Amino acid sequence: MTTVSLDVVSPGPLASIQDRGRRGLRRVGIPWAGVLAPAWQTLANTLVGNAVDHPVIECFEGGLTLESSADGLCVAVAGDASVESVNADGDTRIVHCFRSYRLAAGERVKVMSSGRTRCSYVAIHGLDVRIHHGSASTYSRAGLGGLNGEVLKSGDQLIADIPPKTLLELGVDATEALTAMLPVDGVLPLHAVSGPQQDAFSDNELARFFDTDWSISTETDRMGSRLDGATIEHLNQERRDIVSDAIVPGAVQVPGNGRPILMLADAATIGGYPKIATVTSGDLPLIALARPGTAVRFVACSVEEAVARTRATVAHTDRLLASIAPVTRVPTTAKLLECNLIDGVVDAAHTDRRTR
Amino acid sequence: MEFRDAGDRTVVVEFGTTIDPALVAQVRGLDERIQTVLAEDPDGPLKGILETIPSFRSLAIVLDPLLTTPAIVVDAVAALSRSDSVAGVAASRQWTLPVCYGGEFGPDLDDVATRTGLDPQEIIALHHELIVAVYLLGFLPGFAFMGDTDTRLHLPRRSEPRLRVPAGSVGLALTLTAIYPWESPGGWNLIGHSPVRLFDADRTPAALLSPGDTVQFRPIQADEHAHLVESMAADQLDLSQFLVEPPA
Repeated sequence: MTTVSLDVVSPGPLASIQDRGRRGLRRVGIPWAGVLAPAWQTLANTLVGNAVDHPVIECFEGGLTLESSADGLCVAVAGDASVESVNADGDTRIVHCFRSYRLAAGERVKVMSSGRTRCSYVAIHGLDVRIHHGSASTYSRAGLGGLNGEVLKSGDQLIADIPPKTLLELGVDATEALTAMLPVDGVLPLHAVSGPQQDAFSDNELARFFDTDWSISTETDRMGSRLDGATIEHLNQERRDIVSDAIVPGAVQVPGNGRPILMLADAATIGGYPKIATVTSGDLPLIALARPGTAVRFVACSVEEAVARTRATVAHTDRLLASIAPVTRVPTTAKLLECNLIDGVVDAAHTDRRTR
Repeated sequence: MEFRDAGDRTVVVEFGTTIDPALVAQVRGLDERIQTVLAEDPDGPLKGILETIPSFRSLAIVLDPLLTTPAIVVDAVAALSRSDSVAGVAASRQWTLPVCYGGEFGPDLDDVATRTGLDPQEIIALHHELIVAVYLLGFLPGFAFMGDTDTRLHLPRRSEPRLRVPAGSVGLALTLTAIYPWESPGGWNLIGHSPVRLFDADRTPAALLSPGDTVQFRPIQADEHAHLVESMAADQLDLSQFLVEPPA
């Protein structure tokens, strides 16, 4: 193992180091933080030979650029992102999601855009980040995790190592990995169990919560997503507030103004608004990855159905994981069409630029 | 005691709906019982419980839905609360925390005086003479909800929350008092400022106070406040000086 560095040339908006989060400290007010889409972290890490819960970079939209200081550093991107790399000579290649790549010294990987989702995940073999109160996850409000407790900045230097491993790729089409993460027929279904404070609302209002096509507002971040589409009325003035109790990611709070907020990984640990429903943990990555403006609908389910859905989500990830295999030297016809055609176009454009 | 659904990975055990020291004690009792049983028998009926989150009147139990289910946890916790074993209560500590009251440090002191009909000196005296208990930590890392304050100090949050409350601000709201460990938006009525850093990511544990601890405030003047702020910033403040040793 050789320790090498990877420089953050540009972080893009709010890119941060995340792992599975800081558990057991909600009792002292410390949120879990951690990746919004654990399945993608699992896949990206496996592709570079890391443990599934190893820290990765979570980045929003495009803009993240990393530069390798040495030959052989291994990276993989999970998501729907458009990624390219430019080597020291200025040659550009497409970096496909769900496949690992070795970088040459001076080669830059750029996440150009995150495609149909808000974020994507970059795994780096042997990424070495300090474990801070049990996790590497960045929670900048309290200066925890990441590099010095902050989101990534230009000039940050990440430490990693060079693996002896061969390059890996997802055996199934990446579309299958994405299907569960993308809106179906334009409306994202989020399975949710009523409660814990559904009794702060009339049956009519509870039904309206589940019947409304909501839209994810622009006020959305790692703490939570505000939802537009209707105003949910509390039973009466007294039911607008509760004596504060625990919040877990997935809880949907309805403050006095009637506009629901779905709480996510960085949410405060307790809150004083009634929680009308709780989204199943298996469906939670969907809203985290969806862009503002995406239509969502809450689908009422029982606790038993919620558990079954979460277990099915994990089983789906396990099936994807099992398909990971060494990158084949002789690609299938479909892969040839997909890869070479795109590479060819880029090469042609590049040649064209150079001859001008 | 009532169980409330909270999705596939959380069960909420609710003891009541108000802020009441008796409810806080019940929450702590169940919390400690669960921790004890889990430590003794991690593969027993409580298997799969990842963490518990105590608050004023309820205990949230977070579980791993791949290892257990909310229904199994509800049954196990109900059985646990029926058994009559008594959990040991962890030793609590008593703190004396310095506060500089009024002026720039407590911008709402005069407003609180108007709203309560007391004069500022009476408010300061009522705030520091009474020993308060730490009910829970939450909202922000290390944010300690303490109470009950003297009934004459009970008042709602500000109708216009501030966008920025400086770290260290000492506030009043409802029956409670708190020190903001971080700069944050907030609606509490600010009557003073404490130089003691309640949360430090580089400390273990990072939070100074724990639920069950008791706190008494000690009024200090601006010069002592400035001196303590300086020592705190230089990491030269030994925080054990604020601990009251229990009588031997």
